[in-house]
Amino acid sequence: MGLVFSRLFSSLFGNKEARILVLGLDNAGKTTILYRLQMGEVVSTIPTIGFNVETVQYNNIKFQVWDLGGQTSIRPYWRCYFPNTQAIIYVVDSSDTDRLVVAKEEFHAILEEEELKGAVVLIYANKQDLPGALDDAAVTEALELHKIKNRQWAIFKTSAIKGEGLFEGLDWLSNTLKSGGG
Amino acid sequence: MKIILYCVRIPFVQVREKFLSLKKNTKLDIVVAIEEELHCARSTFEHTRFNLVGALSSVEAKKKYEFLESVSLTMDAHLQYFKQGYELLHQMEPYINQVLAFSRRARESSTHEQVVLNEKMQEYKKEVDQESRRSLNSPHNSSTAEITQHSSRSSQKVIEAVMQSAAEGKVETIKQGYLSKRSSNLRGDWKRRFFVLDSRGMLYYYRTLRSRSSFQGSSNPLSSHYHGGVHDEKPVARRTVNLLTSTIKADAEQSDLRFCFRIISPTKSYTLQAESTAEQLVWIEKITGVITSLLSSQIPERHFSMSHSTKSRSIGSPMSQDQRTIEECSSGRDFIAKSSIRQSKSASHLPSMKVEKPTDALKRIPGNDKCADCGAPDPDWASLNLGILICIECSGIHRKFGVHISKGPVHIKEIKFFLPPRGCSVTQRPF
Repeated sequence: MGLVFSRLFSSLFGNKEARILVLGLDNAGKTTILYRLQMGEVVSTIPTIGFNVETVQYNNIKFQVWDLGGQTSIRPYWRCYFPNTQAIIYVVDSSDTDRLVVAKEEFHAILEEEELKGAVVLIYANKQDLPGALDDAAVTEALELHKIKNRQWAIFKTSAIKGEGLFEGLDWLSNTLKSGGG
Repeated sequence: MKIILYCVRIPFVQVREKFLSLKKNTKLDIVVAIEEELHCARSTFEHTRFNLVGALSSVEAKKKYEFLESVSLTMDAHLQYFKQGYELLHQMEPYINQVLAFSRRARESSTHEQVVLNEKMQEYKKEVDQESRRSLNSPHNSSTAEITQHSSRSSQKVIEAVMQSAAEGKVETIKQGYLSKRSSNLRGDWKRRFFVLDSRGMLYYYRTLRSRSSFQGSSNPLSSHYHGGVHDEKPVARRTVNLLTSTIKADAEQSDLRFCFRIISPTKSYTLQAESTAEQLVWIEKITGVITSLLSSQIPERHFSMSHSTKSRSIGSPMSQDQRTIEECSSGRDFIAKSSIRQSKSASHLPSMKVEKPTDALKRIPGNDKCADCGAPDPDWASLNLGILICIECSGIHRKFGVHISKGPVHIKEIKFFLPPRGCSVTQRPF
């Protein structure tokens, strides 16, 4: 009974907890985004071997953000982290046009996963500060996002270095999760 | 003797006085009786006196020879005694010398040991001093993390080497010791557990050291640092933390205790506490190294088992090179010279023994033994368009530039195809 009440209470007044995976190719900017969200500053990073996990409190939601390493060799381990995930943040290096095909293939492979059927997807078209970066429409095109079915998704132009677009994306994510999208 | 003489003399003197006190008018028969009595007493006395003299003279004579005789006998006995002793000891002389030499050597070695021990104690004292000072100076997590990062890079190669040997079937303990573990129940109380990190990349713990030794059947598992005994799967699997999909953080959630760190896996989070900053750093460093080398050495199975126990999977099992190449190519929705993938795919169908690993080919090129930017030894990351090898720290800097300046950088193990340079061996160039 007490459990029911506490659930009711937390659903009324927010304080939800959400498990979020940050995925994307190597050097997309996942770790920089994670620490930009958590600490609000740009940290210098090295290629992530394994993963980082931090808790980000935003809009009454406690996001447990898992930033998984993007190196080709560690991508197969992503699936270990899929269970109980409410949302995916997929980060794309918008300036790395050569690898957008690879990014698209990885992205659609993730969407196929049974364990992520219920997860909402937020795409960050990152590195907008760099010259030659594609805008969100072009990235949408390149990732073939129009193929997504039965899932809530959104794409945001971001620059982790400048801190642009990140919290707009998180706003969308928290609203979607609150409305039961997760 | 004199006493006897004296005793005899008293009655004689009495009788003589009695005889002299006789008066002229005494009757004749009384005179005769007393005279006789006197005569008797005198003869007794004389007799005794002769006896005495005889005894004295015999003593005197005895003194002359018997005493000398006994003295000389004693001397002789002594002589015999010492002679025998001498002979006996003489026989033992070499042994005595040996014992002496041995004892001298023992003394030398013991003094030497004492000196060495003293030196070591001093060194240790200094170390402890420094450590305690360091731990006092750096109580913050940020600095801890920094130190960890730097030291882990250096020791990682060592751990990797140990892990390599593990692939050949040898299991070594990388680190073991007591840690406090926060239990996962609601109270979150701390319990002391014996943790072992071995070269298969397994971290497991026991309630007590004793239960562990009883499992292994070894009397004192702490006696040697490396005990090559093969662990049975059963005790290992008691409480095993799967490190492959875990990460480590140098802090504790919901606790401001010192020396804490967390091992976070997708399903469970372990909060642990070491006994000192140094211990904490060592644990973090070793576990980070193990995770890193697990990730870099493992080629994941395509149908990766979702069970999070390591029981069923063998960690660090050596995989043949062909298998590895095929594996890489089949999972290769991947860039790195797109055109080259097709070539390497066809190459993988050939017996790959003939094909040199790109890693080796890259490493063999002069100048690639150190980071092109900072000069750190043994770089593992490659910038694809610049064609240089750099260390992981510098690769972080390269990534910041963007792909229009430095492409990649990727770990050299991910490079599947590599054309050796023609003629040019200069890898360091400004851009």
